[in-house]
Amino acid sequence: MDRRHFLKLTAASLASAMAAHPQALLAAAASHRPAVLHVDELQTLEAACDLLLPPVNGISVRDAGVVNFIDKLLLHEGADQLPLYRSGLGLFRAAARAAGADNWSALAAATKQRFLEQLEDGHLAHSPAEQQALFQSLRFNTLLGFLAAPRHGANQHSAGWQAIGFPGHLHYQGGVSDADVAGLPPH
Amino acid sequence: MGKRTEWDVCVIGSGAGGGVMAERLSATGMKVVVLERGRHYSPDAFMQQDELSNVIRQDFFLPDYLETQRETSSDTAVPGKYSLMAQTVGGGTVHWGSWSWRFRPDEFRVASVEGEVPDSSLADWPISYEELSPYYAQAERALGVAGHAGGNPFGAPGQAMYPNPPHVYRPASRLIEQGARRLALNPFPIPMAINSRIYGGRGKCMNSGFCSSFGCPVQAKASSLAVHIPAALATGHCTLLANCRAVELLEGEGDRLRGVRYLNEQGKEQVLQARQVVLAAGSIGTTQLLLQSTSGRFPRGLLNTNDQVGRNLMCHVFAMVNFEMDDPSHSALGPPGNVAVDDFHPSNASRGFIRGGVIGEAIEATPIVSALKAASYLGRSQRVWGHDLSDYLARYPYIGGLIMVGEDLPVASNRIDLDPEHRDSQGLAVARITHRRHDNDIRLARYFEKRMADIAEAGGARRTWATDYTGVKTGSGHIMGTCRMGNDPQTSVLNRWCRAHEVKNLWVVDGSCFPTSGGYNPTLTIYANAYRVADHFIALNSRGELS
Ligand SMILES: Cc1cc2nc3c(=O)[nH]c(=O)nc-3n(C[C@H](O)[C@H](O)[C@H](O)COP(=O)(O)OP(=O)(O)OC[C@H]3O[C@@H](n4cnc5c(N)ncnc54)[C@H](O)[C@@H]3O)c2cc1C
Ligand code: SF4
Repeated sequence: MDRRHFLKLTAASLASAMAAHPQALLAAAASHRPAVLHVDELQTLEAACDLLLPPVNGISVRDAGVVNFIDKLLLHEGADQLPLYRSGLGLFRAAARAAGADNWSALAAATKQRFLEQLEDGHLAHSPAEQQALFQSLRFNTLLGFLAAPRHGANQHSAGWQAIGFPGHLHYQGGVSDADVAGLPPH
Repeated sequence: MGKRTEWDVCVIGSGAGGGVMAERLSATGMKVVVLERGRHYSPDAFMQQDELSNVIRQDFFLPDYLETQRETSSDTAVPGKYSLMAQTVGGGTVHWGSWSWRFRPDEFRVASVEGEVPDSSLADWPISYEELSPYYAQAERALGVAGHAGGNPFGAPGQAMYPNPPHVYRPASRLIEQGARRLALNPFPIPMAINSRIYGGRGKCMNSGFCSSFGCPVQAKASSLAVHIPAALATGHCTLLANCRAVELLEGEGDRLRGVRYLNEQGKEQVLQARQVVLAAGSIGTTQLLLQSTSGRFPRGLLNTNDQVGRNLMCHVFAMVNFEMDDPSHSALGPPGNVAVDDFHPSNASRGFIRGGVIGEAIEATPIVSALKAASYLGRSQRVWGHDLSDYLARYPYIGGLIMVGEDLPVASNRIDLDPEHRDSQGLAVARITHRRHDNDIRLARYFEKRMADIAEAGGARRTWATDYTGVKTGSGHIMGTCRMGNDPQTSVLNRWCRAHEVKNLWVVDGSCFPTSGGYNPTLTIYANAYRVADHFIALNSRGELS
């Protein structure tokens, strides 16, 4: 299978897998205890997500519960991505071990940055297509975890929406006046 | 519904075309049954929508839908959900953005105006703007379109007063308006089928965003769900069968259909008999059903003797430019877009392409889609992460946008057919989209990208950037063609009344009858044409000439 084909397949399966069991994710979102990832893997992922999406207006991926979202996603809607994460996280572990660190998150910021760049380019010692698929998935899921509606277990306490100044579903709040839309100073 | 009920009319699909047909025909006392494959939402369910469900996963309006897509017949078609068209009572009008335009007169006779164009299958419409004009007015009244008649010097002539005043401009609209004026252009309010005041028994818009791609929880946004289907049901002559999917049109004797085979809510096969069948399942659904309905007489699918069913698929070409402004744009508030510029619409081959399109304000997308556009802002496809990504997201409240809806040229090989490799959850072959843009579309989009950037810059935008949408096919949501109407049965599927050339009691009344796509969003034209066809249908019926 060539690389482009692999990436295409992954994108298609991302969408279709996520459509499969929306209720399951809603239920799992209630718990913050790790479901499929180990504690050290969560620590690694959180550090990676934080580099992919550093705090926006001071609000971080940790504030939005992004890694908890990804953990539950891999249990349910994104279960078919789990093998990709498992083998990919092995690369993170190997890099940490080579540098004598307990966890990838403990590496120097520049080292982690370089690692993610290599992952994006498919230049680590592993199948390039899989590395790139993991990178794309991680970036996509980080954005979902930060910005999707809280009812999906993402964006906890609407932290991501607050970060970017998105007001959310204003129909719930009785709507907005024409004057507010216009944003003109009162006469 | 007794077992042997014979309906006067079976309408398949309850979107723009189907909604009008159901309402108009049942209002005259005809016994109408509507088959709709999707579910019937009550508006309060739309409070439960969100971007992940509606836009990214598309499991709200398309919970169980599959199609495949490829560029050319030599490519492998890849499965997915590409077309974004809601499968629900009300069809695509439930989640439309409601921009409601009349086509310009020249858009009904493009073949005559432009002559022969290589690699395109241009054709004139068998009807004129003048013939459709009163029906446009009827549709505008039914939908409560808000706008400013006479505001667009480049629009269709004879625009009647809109039933509602325009919506208020947000700061981003004013930036665009100012930029256009500085360039001596003519900005005007986009006509939108969204109540700017209480109208037609429906409330005023709550200005709450989550609008295009979402259903309206207060029905301020007009749709067949909010307007036509309730009116049809209120006649007492219309029965709506939601979650019922038509799977075959059944031939009877003497160039006629005898009924429709469908799967009911439990997936059980049923047959209903009808004297007339109105197919309004959208350009893709309509083609799929015709091609599924094979017989000795129509081995390649119903009406497909001339191999025209499914061909000339069009989906408009879009161009998109975003801009950053100093003050909050208020993109997340109010209906989707408010101000338009149409000065570049008239066709002018000296620009390097023919035909044109309309420019409208595009509110910035909901957060995830906006984040996925970061690559365009940063001008690169790698390293779209880190501090640059966060910096982009922090600008969200200050982003506004412009979009161009452009006329795409029909191409005979752009088509819908049945995919021999993939089946859906009900075991039926899925629709296969084969679509490659005509070069003219790309040149048109590039030209408009520049014009839109000029407008935003003249209005004082800090920065502008384009996102390439020319690769989007039916994902535009504007899906037209596939069952052309025309005067020549050799080159078209339907006659000027949207009645099948080859089967007397079959009518196709949705976007699939369009011979060309016009440079405006299509749905007001689908609605107006449906009112026109309904009038003709009713006149024939009252004269006893509906055979
Ligand atoms: C996000 C978005 C925004 C849009 N915004 C605008 C806009 O601002 N302005 C504009 O003009 N247009 C807009 N459109 C386009 C508009 O939605 C369509 O042009 C319009 O809905 C098409 O009408 P139709 O009658 O052809 O089909 P549809 O509205 O698609 O209706 C077809 C119906 O048939 C049903 N059906 C299909 N197959 C079967 C079957 N076998 N049995 C029973 N039922 C079946 C479907 O479920 C559907 O309900 C937008 C589209 C999208 C996706
Ligand atoms: S913004 Fe207005 S029209 Fe759109 S969904 Fe909200 S209330 Fe309805």
